[in-house]
Amino acid sequence: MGKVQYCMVIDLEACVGCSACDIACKVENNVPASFAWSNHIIETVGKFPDVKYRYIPTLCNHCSNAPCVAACPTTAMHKLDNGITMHDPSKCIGCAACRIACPYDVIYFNDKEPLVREEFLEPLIPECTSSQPGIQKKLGVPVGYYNPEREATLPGIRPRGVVEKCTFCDHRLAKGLPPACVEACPANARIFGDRNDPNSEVSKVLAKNHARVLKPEKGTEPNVLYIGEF
Amino acid sequence: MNPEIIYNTYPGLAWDWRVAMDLFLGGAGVGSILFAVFVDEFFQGKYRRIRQTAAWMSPILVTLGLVFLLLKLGRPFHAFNTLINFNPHSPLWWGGIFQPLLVILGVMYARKLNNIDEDSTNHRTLGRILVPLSIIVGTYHGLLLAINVSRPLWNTGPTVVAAILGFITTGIAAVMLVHLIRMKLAGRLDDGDHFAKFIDDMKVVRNILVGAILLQLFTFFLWWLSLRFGVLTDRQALALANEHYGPMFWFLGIGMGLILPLLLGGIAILKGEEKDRRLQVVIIMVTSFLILFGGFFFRLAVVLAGQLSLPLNPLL
Amino acid sequence: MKMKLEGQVEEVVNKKVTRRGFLKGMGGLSMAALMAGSPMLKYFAMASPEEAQKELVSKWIASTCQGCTSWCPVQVKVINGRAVALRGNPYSKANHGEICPRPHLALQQVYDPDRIKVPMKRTNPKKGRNEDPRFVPITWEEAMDMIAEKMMELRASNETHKFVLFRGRYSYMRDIIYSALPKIFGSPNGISHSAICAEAEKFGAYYTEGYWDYRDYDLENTRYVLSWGADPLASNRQVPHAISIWKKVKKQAKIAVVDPRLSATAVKADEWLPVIPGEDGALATAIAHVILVEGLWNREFVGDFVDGKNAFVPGKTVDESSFKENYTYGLVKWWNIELKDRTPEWAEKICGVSAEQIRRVATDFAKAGPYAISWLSPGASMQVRGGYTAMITHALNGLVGSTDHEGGVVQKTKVPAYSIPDIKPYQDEMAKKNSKKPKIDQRGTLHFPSLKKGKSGGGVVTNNAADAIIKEDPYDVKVAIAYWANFTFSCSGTDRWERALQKIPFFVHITTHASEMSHFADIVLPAAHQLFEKWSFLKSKQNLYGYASLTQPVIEPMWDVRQDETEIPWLLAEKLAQKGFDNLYRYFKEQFKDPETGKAPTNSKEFAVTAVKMFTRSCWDPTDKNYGKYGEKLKGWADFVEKGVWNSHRFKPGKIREKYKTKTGKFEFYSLTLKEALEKHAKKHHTTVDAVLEATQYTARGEQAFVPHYEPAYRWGDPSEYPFIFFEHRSRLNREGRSANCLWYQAHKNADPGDENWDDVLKINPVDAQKLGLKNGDKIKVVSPTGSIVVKAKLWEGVRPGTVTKCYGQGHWAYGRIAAFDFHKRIPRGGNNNVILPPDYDRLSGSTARHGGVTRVKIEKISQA
Repeated sequence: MGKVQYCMVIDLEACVGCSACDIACKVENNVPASFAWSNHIIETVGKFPDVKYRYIPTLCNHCSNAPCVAACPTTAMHKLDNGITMHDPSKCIGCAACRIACPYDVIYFNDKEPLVREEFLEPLIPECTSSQPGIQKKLGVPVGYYNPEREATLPGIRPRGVVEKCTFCDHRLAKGLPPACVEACPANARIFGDRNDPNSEVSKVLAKNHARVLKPEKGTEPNVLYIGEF
Repeated sequence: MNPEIIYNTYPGLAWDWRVAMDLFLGGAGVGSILFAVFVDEFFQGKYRRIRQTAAWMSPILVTLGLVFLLLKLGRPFHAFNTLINFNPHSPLWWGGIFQPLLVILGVMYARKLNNIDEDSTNHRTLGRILVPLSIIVGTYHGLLLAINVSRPLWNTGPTVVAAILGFITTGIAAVMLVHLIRMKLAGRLDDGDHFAKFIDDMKVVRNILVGAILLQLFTFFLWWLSLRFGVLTDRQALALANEHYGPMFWFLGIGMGLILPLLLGGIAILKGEEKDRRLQVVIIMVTSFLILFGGFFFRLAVVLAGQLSLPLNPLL
Repeated sequence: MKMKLEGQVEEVVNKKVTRRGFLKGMGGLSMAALMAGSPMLKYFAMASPEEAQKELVSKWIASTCQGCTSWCPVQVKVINGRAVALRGNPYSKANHGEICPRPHLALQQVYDPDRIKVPMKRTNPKKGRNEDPRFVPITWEEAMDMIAEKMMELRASNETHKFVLFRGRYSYMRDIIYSALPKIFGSPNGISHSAICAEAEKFGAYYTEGYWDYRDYDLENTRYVLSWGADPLASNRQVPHAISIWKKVKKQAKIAVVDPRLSATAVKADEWLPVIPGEDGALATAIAHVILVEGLWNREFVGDFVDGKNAFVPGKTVDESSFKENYTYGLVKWWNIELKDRTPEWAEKICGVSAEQIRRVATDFAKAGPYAISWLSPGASMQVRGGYTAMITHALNGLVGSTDHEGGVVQKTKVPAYSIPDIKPYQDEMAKKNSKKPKIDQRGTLHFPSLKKGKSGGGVVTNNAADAIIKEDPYDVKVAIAYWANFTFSCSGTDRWERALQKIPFFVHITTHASEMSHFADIVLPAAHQLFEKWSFLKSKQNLYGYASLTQPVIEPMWDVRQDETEIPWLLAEKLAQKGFDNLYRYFKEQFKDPETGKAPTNSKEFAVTAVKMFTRSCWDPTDKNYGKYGEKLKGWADFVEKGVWNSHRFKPGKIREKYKTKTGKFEFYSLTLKEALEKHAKKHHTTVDAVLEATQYTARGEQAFVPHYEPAYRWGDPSEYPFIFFEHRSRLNREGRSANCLWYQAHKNADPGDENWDDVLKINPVDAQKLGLKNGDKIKVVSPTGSIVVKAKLWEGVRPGTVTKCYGQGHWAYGRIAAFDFHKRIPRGGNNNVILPPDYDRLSGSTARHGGVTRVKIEKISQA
């Protein structure tokens, strides 16, 4: 058997556009509210009353021919053996060449202190309510729901000055768990696995369905594929 | 409006004016070193001072450009990572390696030119090494934008050609401007004979400049053609760029940076025998300034416009 | 590798994580290092050492999400004492391990920096929206002392009925605080939120098939879903189940959604019927008309003409004796009184849906019957004249025989649970007498029949309590406690609630956040978060399974909070006892015993657990008489705590139809049950049914009142001044109006079709917008006859021209610094629909009429985008 190539198939027919994936991703990966490793495109077409609406979930495509990896001057953005496009913040200089190179706008740049909300710096009602520093002091974490398991392969939160993006939840894969968005999807619209393994569910689904990718003309060879109509 | 497509990504610009500044200053630096070598090679022994000006300006300009680039970095103190890692696919990596090299060799070259009595073959060798090196850096400036398949506005051949021609025009303009100032400060412009000689010498430079501007205009025309009659995303990118940065590009970049200098240069050529030195100096200074001014704004317009989000192609 | 953690609640000590060579320490001159001293410093550090990962002890603990009233069993991932993630409870057969987006948001509620940490006391005696309450912290001891003192004053003056307990959302621990507390103290006033929720829906099922409750739907076997404003992919009452099965439903069934807005469900449907708000009744009667004229009713359920020939000809009356009914009563009466003239062509002009589409949907729906669902929701019933619309839309299930049928609409399986022990022995004379006084909401008066389960004044008229308090009719309220409620935000006509609360001399608010209601409180008590910090249980149903689902403290409470429905009444009982009234305390001590040990609780925390154990005993205690009778046999309390959910047997349709709990025992198309209820109410007020109908804004007179019939929409505002019909809708991210202070709520708001992130937009059709010169993002003032809000315009094709719509949930001027644009200046983020919605009612059910386009609005442009 050849090497592993992780891939995600999103069944738009099953997807109901609820955004549970987007939120669960933030929970799992300690992603700032203004970023969206897991994101979506929304399309409304037609005139009343003949209106169609589509919701297309997006995330890093973990392209086999990844422009972000090519553009990175320090190899901070790199490919893993299993096909994941991974980022190493310790090498990142924050040049944003990857953001420029990515045709899908899925790479985010920490231009502020991550997870810090100015709104929450002081207590709302003195002595009666808390504040973000208050919660940090009490719980010893940046936000109450901070997930320390993310630290296995990335800084728990990414420092100011570096980029960040979806990692296919590599830290969960290492434990035999699916990416957080896959688990969170109540419609079971996301199928994840090794497309090089003919017996994997993704391979079977891909064999049966006409799969499409975003911006195929860019030649990026995405590993996030779409089947069905929303 | 119809279809309405919403894709909320992070609103911040990835690259801003500081990147344009790096491209601009770095380009001028490349141009000026080439100018120095050119003068050294083809006008042996002559124009010692202008050659000196040009040689010293290069490392200074490139360094300034790098400073702007560093200021744009999220983590400038980690920039050394570029030097200890290897990614030949990345133009920025090439830039990170070769720009500092250009600065170092440029300083060495300028120092040699300072003392013309030194062994001339030696500095010529260094000059010949600097030629390919500066062309690599100049090309990098074009490729930095052009390799991005995600950015149709940049992802063209003329992007690279325009960058190369850009370093020629801005390099020469920068040298002329700075050299004039240097001469003025040294009081040499007041010396009639010397000035006549200078103006005379400038003619060849001026002719190169006019040629480069014409080529540059032609390149922009090709760039426009390739987008205007390209695939859908090319046309969308061009329309979007014109909508948001059209005035900056066409008026400041092309109008003031190329057309106007061309007219002024033309006047200067036609009136080549004009003896009004003061006017000639003014024309040279204004022309140089305009070229630099336009050279920055065309880069800024291109850097910003290339990052405008295109309407997404619906999933097929 | 589509992996899901099925099954066991496991304790996961993280396995060794493969560390990759490239992941070295950040080192060097990282910006993080430059911020030395920051408490967040270590989280910027590169991959934590394997040792640190190994030290993480993670455990999934069961609880229940009350973000909407699906009440899904969930599990919380707790790592080293902190809640870090949520998922569906895999033991649950209702939501089968799936959850919608809402439970995730709860993390940002429990760890919200804006939560109240300690009891607060008002120091500014002046009350009003523009008064700063100037809250200061006090101890629980002080707070309970002050409350008990005020309550004792009422005992001293024999005015205990002037005590009111307002209840918003609740768990099934509710009767301790909502029933036992006021009744033993001596007040009739437990005022619940139910009538601002969905009571009108229940009216439909009750007066056709004698069932006052929400229905369940056999999606797995259905062939047609006809939704009346229901948006099950986004909101109530089985969201994750509906989402997870929708692909299958779409394959095997046709889906038609009646909704003036292109809803989350409409975008995943085969047919969208963009009805004019409030005119659902015309559409529904026309569908019934078509079904009869085309002879498509279900013969088995409804019966047939004696001669087998269909005599339902448009415009012609039918002889009642010519039709023999089976499980139904009054079909021909219904036809003669109401349906015979309700042609699709007639309806088209009224409801805005084409006759062609009406015919197609009616025909397809009926042909799919009895494997067909007519799915009633608040949208089509919480209207001024919505009671009858609820009846018609539910009656469609009767016509196609889908009620109590496989693939159709069914009732519920019993979830065995006990309520509070008998309180009577603990009511003294004052309590007995005063708790029989009329309730403050004026239920049962001529104008408010509120005919819950056939009884005049049987149900609450929540929103009217504000007016009653202001008018001091029937009396003045002196002390009030509200818990898990925010009526100044959630009830239409919010200004009345502000005035009412301003008037109450002593008001206590139990809440997690300083909300619009807290703003008027004398004492604010910080409540435990239901999902993470509280002992309770819920009863609900989805997917034809009933269930009891536990909530438990999965983490140590974040702050000095108490559980609202158990601990706080206990603490209050202690204080009242100290001050000489010990009935409530004795009731708690003597009547509440741990079913396992027989011990009485000694403190508030023990009381909370004891009560849950008592109430849920049938689910887990083998010695209980109902153990295993209706569903699973859990192996003791510990087993219940671990699994978190008890599942009933799957509901088997077909038995209830044999004897409905109606007057006739049949499914009533002519409702003798309603006739009796109306006549009783009329008699009580010495008047006629017609007079009752007039007093309650209905247009029907005579016999029409007893059949499901069309009533024209009732709207506030003159069309010439207010050109647009305004209607509101729900968000898939609303945790019942409590999630607006969550960053993720704001950051993902556009998951509601047509909405925008971090904003609150009025959706308007581009055709209308063009007439007004509006562009996307323009700031506009939306003005109704009773109020105005400032929001942004959103041009969207998914809304009917002539109507405008906005989601409910934004527009908080309190609740925190994300929810409010400026908390201290009381400037809302967006606008609250309830400011412009007039306080009106479906008076037959007592419901607040927030839907059906109850008001018209005008739109004024304030500034360009």
